[in-house]
Amino acid sequence: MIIRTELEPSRRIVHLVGRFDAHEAKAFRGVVHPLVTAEANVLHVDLAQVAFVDSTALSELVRLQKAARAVDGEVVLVDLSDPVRVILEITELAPLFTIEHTSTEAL
Amino acid sequence: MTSSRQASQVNHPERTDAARPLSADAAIELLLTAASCDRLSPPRSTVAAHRAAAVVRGAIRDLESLQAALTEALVASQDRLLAMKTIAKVDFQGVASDEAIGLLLGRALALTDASAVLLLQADTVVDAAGDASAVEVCAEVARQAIAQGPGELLRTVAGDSAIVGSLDVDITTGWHVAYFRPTDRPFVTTDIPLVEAINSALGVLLAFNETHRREQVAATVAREHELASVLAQSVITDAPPTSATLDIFARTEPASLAGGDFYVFGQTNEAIWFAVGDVAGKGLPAAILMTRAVTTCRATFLSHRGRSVIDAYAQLEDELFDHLDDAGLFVTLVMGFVCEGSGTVSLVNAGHSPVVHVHDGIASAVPASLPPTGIVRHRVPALSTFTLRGDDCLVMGSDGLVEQADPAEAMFGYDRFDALCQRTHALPASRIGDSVFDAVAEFAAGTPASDDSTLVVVKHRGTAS
Repeated sequence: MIIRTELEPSRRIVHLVGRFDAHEAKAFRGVVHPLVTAEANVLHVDLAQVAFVDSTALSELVRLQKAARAVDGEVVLVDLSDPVRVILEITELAPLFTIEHTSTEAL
Repeated sequence: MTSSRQASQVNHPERTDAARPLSADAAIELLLTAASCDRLSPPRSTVAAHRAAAVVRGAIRDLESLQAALTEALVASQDRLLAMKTIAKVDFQGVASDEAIGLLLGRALALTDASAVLLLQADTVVDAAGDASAVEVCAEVARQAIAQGPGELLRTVAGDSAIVGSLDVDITTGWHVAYFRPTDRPFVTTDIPLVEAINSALGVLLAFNETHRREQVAATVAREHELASVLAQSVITDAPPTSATLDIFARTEPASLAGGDFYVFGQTNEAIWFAVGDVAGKGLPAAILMTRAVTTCRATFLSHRGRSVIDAYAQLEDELFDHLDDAGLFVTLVMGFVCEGSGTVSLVNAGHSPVVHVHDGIASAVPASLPPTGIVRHRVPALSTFTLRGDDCLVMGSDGLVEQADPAEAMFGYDRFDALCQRTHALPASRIGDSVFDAVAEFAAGTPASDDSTLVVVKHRGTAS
């Protein structure tokens, strides 16, 4: 999986590309989790090009959301790919996140 | 012209039976003498001849210096080669051992003709060979030398009667070797190649030792990991409960030694409780939490004979939530019970999939009504209730089945899973289960499973006779 970050003064965005599974969890935690801080407590995660997520990947997103909530922030999931949308719906995890679509809300 | 040629012939050295010069310098002197004796040569030619002689002498001196340097390099190279051959011939009797280090120190003592050789790690003497009574004094000399030149590979100290070397292999950082001789027999330049060769061999040996030690630690951890995995998996190897009216199939296949998938049953007076779950994550941490989930489920089943699935789930969540929250993990879980008499199923689904109810030949998913356990506390789940009649069945799998990839990286998928349940629902539970595992294996076509695979199938045979 490719992890690309855009750190702007007003917004922090992470773009993920590829399979997000247990093999990628360590890299995700190492790169993405430090981006959530008390000063920058809202993080956008672009999932448009994620082909697959497994339960470990979901737990990483949940862990990230908990970290953001702890500093009064949140993780915003942007442009869910179909596989991601389906798994979030099946597991009832979708309501835990704010989900945005760039067709209506520009990144 | 004639008289000139005659004069030249008369004064030619080879024509005068003069002694053959013994050196280049003597030959030049002879030439200069001959040039000065030639009456036909003008004085200016004699001066030029002296200048030429000086140039030739300079060139000869340069050549002699070069020859000396080459000889010295050749000798040093041969010394180094001999030292390496000597070291290579040492029988270490099993490389990775402290005995091998001691053996090499002893050989270093003999090869360098030293009175003592010390191996130090940081400031501590780890091993020594030679004069035992001098170890402490020698060690202090070595420590001072290391402190004064911490970045140097070799230091000659104590009037050249000691050499203190640092081993430069990465894994042996902080290791030093010190060689000592009596002050009347100091080390000389030609000893250096041998010392370097011994230091190099010691460095390699220490690196082997360290690598061996790490491998032993890793092997110990692997053995303990394997044992822990076997113990973790043992909590779910129970066969499904037997019932006169219920036909139950259950199987779990971890993708590795330890997995996070589980199923668990509890039999009360007229009902069989069940739970099928998947702890997010991989390996031993997930397996350890899985064992906790299984034991909590069993305790919950025993304490909820009153058949309140929602209360049972609330108790389960209370027991597990903090552990899951601390670990940053969650459990997808479907739990409930089925009445042995009526075949009525009551269940709650906390983010688990696939859960399929085949009714009248039509498969439909039993959706989750709340997120997986361990994420949000005190959500009240919705209860799903239905009755198994005829060929109806309840199929509860894990994501390892539907997410199994084929060689082209396509997923088995939920649609294929539902269709398979629908196609096989009239079979006994065990044959439905086998069909699912077989179909997934066939689809995988050798592609390794990336996640655990778990399946529980429940059917109702009708009223017991």
